[in-house]
Amino acid sequence: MIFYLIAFGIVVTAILTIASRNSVVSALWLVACLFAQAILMVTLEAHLVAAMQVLLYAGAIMVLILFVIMLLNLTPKELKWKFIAGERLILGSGVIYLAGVMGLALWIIYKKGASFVPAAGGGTAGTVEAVGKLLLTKYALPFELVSVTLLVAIVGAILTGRGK
Amino acid sequence: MNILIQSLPLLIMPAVAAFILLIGAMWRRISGESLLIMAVAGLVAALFFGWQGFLAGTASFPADIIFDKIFYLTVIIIAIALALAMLVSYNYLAERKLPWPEYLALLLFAGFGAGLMAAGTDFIVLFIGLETISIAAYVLAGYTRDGSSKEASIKYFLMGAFASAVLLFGIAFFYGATGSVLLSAAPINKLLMVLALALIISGAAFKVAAFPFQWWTPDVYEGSPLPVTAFFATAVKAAAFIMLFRIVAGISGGLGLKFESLLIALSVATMTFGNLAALFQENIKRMLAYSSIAHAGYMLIAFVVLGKDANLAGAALLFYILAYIVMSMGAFGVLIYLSGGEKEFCNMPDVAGLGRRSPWLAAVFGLFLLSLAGFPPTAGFVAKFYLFKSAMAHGYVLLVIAAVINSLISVYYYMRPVVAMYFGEFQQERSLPKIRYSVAGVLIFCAIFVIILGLAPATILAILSH
Repeated sequence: MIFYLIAFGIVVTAILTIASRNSVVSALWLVACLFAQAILMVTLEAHLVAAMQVLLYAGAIMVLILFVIMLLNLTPKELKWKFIAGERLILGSGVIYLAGVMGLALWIIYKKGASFVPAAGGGTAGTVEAVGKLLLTKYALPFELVSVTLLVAIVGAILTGRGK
Repeated sequence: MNILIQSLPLLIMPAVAAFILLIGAMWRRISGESLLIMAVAGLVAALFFGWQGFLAGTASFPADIIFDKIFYLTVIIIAIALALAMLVSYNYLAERKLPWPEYLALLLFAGFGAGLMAAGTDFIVLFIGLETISIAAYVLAGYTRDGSSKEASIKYFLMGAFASAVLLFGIAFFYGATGSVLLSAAPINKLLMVLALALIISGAAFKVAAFPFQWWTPDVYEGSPLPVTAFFATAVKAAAFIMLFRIVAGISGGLGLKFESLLIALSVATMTFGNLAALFQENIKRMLAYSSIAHAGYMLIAFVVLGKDANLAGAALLFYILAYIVMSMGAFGVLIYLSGGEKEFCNMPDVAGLGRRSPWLAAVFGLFLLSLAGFPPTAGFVAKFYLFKSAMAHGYVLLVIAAVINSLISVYYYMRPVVAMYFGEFQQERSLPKIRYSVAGVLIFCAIFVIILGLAPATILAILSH
């Protein structure tokens, strides 16, 4: 029951984020959405991820987003609804996609198939110790490989951010 | 120690990339040529060690990564594609005074990502590889920083991020269904697995530009700088297909019958859409983008066969990828050869009368287009023949008929530039650029390769069939 409440909250705040015309209001709704996600993670016993979500996304990254909005000086007027080419096509394919995924999911729930595999380790799987141990033993290789991805992202960010 | 040697072909690429980045930052006056030579030397080394590894055989890293023959062949193919993409961009970057170190480093990192996509046996490694190559591709799409290039970059980034999210969603469901991220994990919950696989295939279909997810391709390919488009059409596409191959072949118990008909539908829809949309394009770059969608449709046939005979499908797919890389790199190379210092000349009138102005260039362009259309005796013909034959052998007659009809349609638009080159009139007086040796070298290499693959495919096929 709690899950459905939180999930409803996430969906509503996400819709409000993209529906709002004022970009600052949008950003605030995004904070609410991220917080709701963090609560969901807590109920799933992923405490570390929940803390990261609040600290990094709702904290640091949101500050950056607000900075960008202020620097660009976006007023609500400039963000008018614009019609893009082939909009109906895009909307249509989006609806079909959503319907497909939801249909499949509901069909599976209907067939009573949605019994997930229980998390290993009971209630301690999401603690800092458990996640840290996993990262440095079982998933040590992907953990190291991510560094290359981050390096590429840094190079890309510098390249796109640099003036001509 | 042994593991280190086995993984050398994979590790060389990021090592050289980091070295080039460092040396480019510290020694600012180093010329583009020397960096280019370094990068190509690194790729040649990767190719060499890849071949050594191929001869030595399979080695597996603890759980997450496997270095088998497919991995080594992929590294070899990707190294060839990247080296060609680098050489072909020499004049393009030099004339526009674009920075070299980042360009080469991003291409090399993309090669590393492609290697991971071929080596991963669990979804985390596959996804990291995919993101590495994707991020590099987003940045490269916007490399010239003019309007269309930026637009291509943003479009690619947004669409790509969306596709990655879909893929991740699928991976999350996979974890829910099996309790593991290993590809070979047996599903505890069969129904959830269906949902997981549907989402994963959707995400991967975006990356290979299969039918309902192909809308980004023409815009991105047209807007990106020409050499980068050549890189997208060859290395990125090859890597995405290898990843899909890994996933489909690695899933325990295969995909099952339901997904077979889904793949058939995807394949036919993709090739039909690509060919029909390409028919009336005036821009050759955009036409080649649609043609790449059509070729993705042909390549999906291999995945239909995969459920019946993995070895046959793997060999047919790798051969097709190799053939597609050389012929499409060649076709883009001709356009790069024609493009001026400021502007790209990719419209049909721009190649009109090329047959008289520059017979050799027109001849190789004609060769590549014939090969893309699948005329014998070129690589494109043998690749298609082999693929269709493998589908025939397992009784997919209707699928093969659809593919053959599609090939016939494609002849029309591949012949349009040829007709323009030999029978068209000059539209405007434009002197041809002076000889561009690096591009010319790539064109010669690709042309020879296309003919060798067309005339004597047996050796390559024997290697790929392992």
